[in-house]
Formats: sequence, C-alpha cells, structure tokens
Amino acid sequence: MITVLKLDLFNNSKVSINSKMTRYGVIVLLVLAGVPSLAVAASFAFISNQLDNNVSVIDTASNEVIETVTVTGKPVGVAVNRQKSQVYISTPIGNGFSVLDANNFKIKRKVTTSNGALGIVSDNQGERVFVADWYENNIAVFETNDFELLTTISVGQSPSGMAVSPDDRWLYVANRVDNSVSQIDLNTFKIRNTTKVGTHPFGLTLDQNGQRIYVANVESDDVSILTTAGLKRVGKVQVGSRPYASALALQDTLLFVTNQDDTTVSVIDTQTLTEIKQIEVGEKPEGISTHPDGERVYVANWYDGTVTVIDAKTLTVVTTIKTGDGSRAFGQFITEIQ
Amino acid sequence: MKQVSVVLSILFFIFMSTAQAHGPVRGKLTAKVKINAPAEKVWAIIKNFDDMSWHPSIAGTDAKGGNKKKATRILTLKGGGTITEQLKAYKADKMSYKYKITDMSTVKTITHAGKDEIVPVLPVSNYAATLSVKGKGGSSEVKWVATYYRGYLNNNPPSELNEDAADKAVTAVLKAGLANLLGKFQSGAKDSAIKFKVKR
Repeated sequence: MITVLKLDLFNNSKVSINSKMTRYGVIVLLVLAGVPSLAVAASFAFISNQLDNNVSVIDTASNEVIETVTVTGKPVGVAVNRQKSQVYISTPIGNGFSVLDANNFKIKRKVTTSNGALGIVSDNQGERVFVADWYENNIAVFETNDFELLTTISVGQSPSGMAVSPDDRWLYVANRVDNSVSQIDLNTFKIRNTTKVGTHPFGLTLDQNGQRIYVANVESDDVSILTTAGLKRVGKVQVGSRPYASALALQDTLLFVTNQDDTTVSVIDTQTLTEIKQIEVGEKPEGISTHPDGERVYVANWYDGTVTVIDAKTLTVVTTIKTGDGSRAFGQFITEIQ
Repeated sequence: MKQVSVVLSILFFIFMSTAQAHGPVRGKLTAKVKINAPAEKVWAIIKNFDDMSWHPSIAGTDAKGGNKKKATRILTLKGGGTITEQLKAYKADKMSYKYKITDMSTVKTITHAGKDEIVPVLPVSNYAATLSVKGKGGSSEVKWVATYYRGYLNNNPPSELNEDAADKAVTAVLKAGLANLLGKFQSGAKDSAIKFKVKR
C-alpha cells in the first residue's frame, strides 16, 4: 500500500507541490506506517569479478570493500532479493547461479540451470528469480525457498537483460541476437508483446513506475526507449561506443549508460531524451546500478577491476574503489540490508 | 563390450559438449617485457600510432589523424590481409595508447552448424588493446594488454574460432612485436623474456 502511494505521488507530475515537499510527505507516511526509515538501512554493492571468480562486497557508507566472496564459474550477472536478503550471482561457466546470503556474505547454495546462464533478476516480492540462458534462448523461473524450477519460458535469441514490473505482473527481456524486447505475462508465463529495438540490445532498465523501458543497444551505439504499455517506441538516443547497460537516478530524471569502448558513462535527460554529458570512468565500464538514495551511481569497470561512484547531482566522480579483475556486475547489484 | 563402448562414447560426447560450452567470455591477455633501456627511448620507437614499422609482421601502415583520438590506421600484414584500427586514447605523459580493431579482412569462410562463418585474419571479436611503457630505474617495462572475445559468439565454436585459436593468434602478434622491440636494444635476447598471462 505504502509503495503504491509513493509511486503515485512521484508519478503524478501534474500535482504542483514541489518535489521536496512530496518526498517529505512520503517519509512521514513511511515512519507512521512503522516502516523503518530508508536512511538507517545499510546498503551494499555486490560486484562480480569475472576473471577472479569472486564477488566484492562494498559497504556504500564507506565505499570500501569489506568482504570478498569466492564464486567460481566466471560470475557475471547479479540480482538482489531485498525481501529475503539474498543476492543471486549467475555463473555462465558454472551452469547456473549461486545464492549469497546478504546477512553474512556466505554462499548458501548453488542452483544448476543450463550452460548459458547470464542475465538474472528477482521479482519485487522476492518470491521468484528469473535466469536468462544465452544459448538455450529461454528464461528459467525458480522459486526462492527451495529453488525449485517452476517453469521455463521460450524467448528470442540470446536473452540478456531483464526487469520485472513494480507489481510483479510483467517481465521484460532484451533478446540480443533478435534485436528485440519482449514482454512476458508472469501469470501465464507467455509472451504478450515483442518489439524491435536497436542492434544487439543488452542491458534493460525499467523506471520505478513501470512505465518506460530503456535498453542499451551494443552494436548500434544507442539507447531505445519504449513504453511498457504495448511496447511502443518513444525514441532513441545516440550514446558512446558499445553501450552495455543503464541505470536511472534522481527520481528517474537521469539515465546513466556505460559505454564499454569509450571509458565513459553517458548521462541522458529522460524528459528531453538528449545526452547531456559524458563522464570519464574506468576502462571497459559494464554493470551499473543506482544506490537506493537515488543519488549515487555505481559503475563496474571490467578492465581496471574497479568501481566508479558518480554523484548524480553534480555529475562528477566521487571515488574509485579497487575490486577485482573483470568487474562486470551485470544487473541490479545494490541492496539494503536492515 | 560393444554396449560399453557405446555408453563410453556417449559419455565422452556429453563431457566434450559440456567442456566446450563456455560462454563467450571476454579474455584479457597481458604481455610484458623488461628492456635494458630508458623508457623514453623505447617509447620513441612505438609512440606513433601511424607507424607500426617496429612490428615485423606489418608490411605497411596507412594512417589518418596522427596521434589524435579517433585516428585510424590500416595495417597491411606481411602474410596477407589487413586490419583496420582506431585510436581510442593517447596519453603521452603516461607513455600509453589504446586502440581497437574496427575491421579485418577475411581469411576464409567455413561452414559450421549449417551456417557460413567468416574467419577474419585475427580470429577474435571486439578486440581492443593498450600499449604502454613504464620506466624502472634506467630500464623499462613494456606492457601490451589485449582484450577480446573469441571469433564465434554462439555456443560450441568451430576450432578456427574458439578461445584457443583467439589466444594463439593474439599471443603470436604480441610476441613478434615485443621480441622485435626487445631485439633493437638487446641483440640476442630470448623470446622467453616476454611474459604472457591469459585471464578469462
């Protein structure tokens, strides 16, 4: 209920209260409802280091690596399940994914899927985890108690980035080789819509209202913007070379896109759909996630083995954190732990 | 007996297909060599993006844009074929430059999994590399780091386009270049002075 209210307040752009007031109102409501304030929860970033076979855990308060967890199988994808304090790490060479306990930073178990596990995402209720298989052209759906396979959904060629709608009704997937995005009904596990985007879409990002999809097209060097309703194409924005993934910040007003071959992050104004800046980051920037505060953006740099932290307000680099070789962190990799 | 061998060969087949079912994971190949000469002198030989004459496998360099970002060069290989590269970053103060391959000539076309597959002159995809020199007292260390995917990005690559083929080809390019550079300062130096590390 509270979440819905929050979304409505942010969504309704016609309401002429200033946004500070609105945010204040939401916090008051959350406190009144007995929900712990967002400010007191600690947030951690989980960075998969593909070449080192481990995951660096960054405490975002100090921006320091506080733990390094061994995860064999060339870890790539990261998904967080805030409800169950779990982090899922896809391991393409390990034929599945590892479940990391976010409370003690230990690997709880390994789940075998098939041999091209890459993209991974959890639903918002934390009940299901979705694993896209790059080779098998499908998405495996697991429940998050015993990690039993619920079903397998056939999708387009080389599914990669995914996102789940705020109400857990829809799953969106970028089909890299098909140059398309599909919308999947999570009640029936059937594809409802498919739309062509740019060439080789990879990372897929959904805004917090579940209205818009942003997908980074690796080969056409641009970002496609779609509405979730009917997957209509809203626009396309040219970015740097070989964009990999994106993340939204400042109440979805800015989109940050990693340009793998340019050592930069493109900043896009989501109102005007124009690139307003390119920020220099580490070499081969790949995975990107926004802190729950909505104001700091974390970028994993594959070549440098570092994470760059960007201040979304000033559009400057706050710090660079040494992680491990081949930092990839493809997916949502920051979560709060109460 | 026959049944046993059938079972064994099936098991072997399953093992082989699992073993080859590597995801296309980007590799990072690092080549390093120590040279008994000041860094500035070594850098002077390799610093110009439009001049690859220090590499013994390159017959000619057709370049545009000097050492400016986005400059291009077309390398003609002595063994035949061309590689087109773009300069991505140039740091004179750090004695380092970074470039990527944007185009390559085709060696041959093979049929794999019912489809025609092109084998480029360097059997890799999305290749980028950084060449740099660091001073260490009166001597220097040259580091050449290449990052690339194997040539075939789908499952079960043909032998011409797998990780081994990519690593071998890239190693050969880096080795020939660094060995020649080393030889300019230390005649008779052994190729084993060049250290390689592949991470994938």
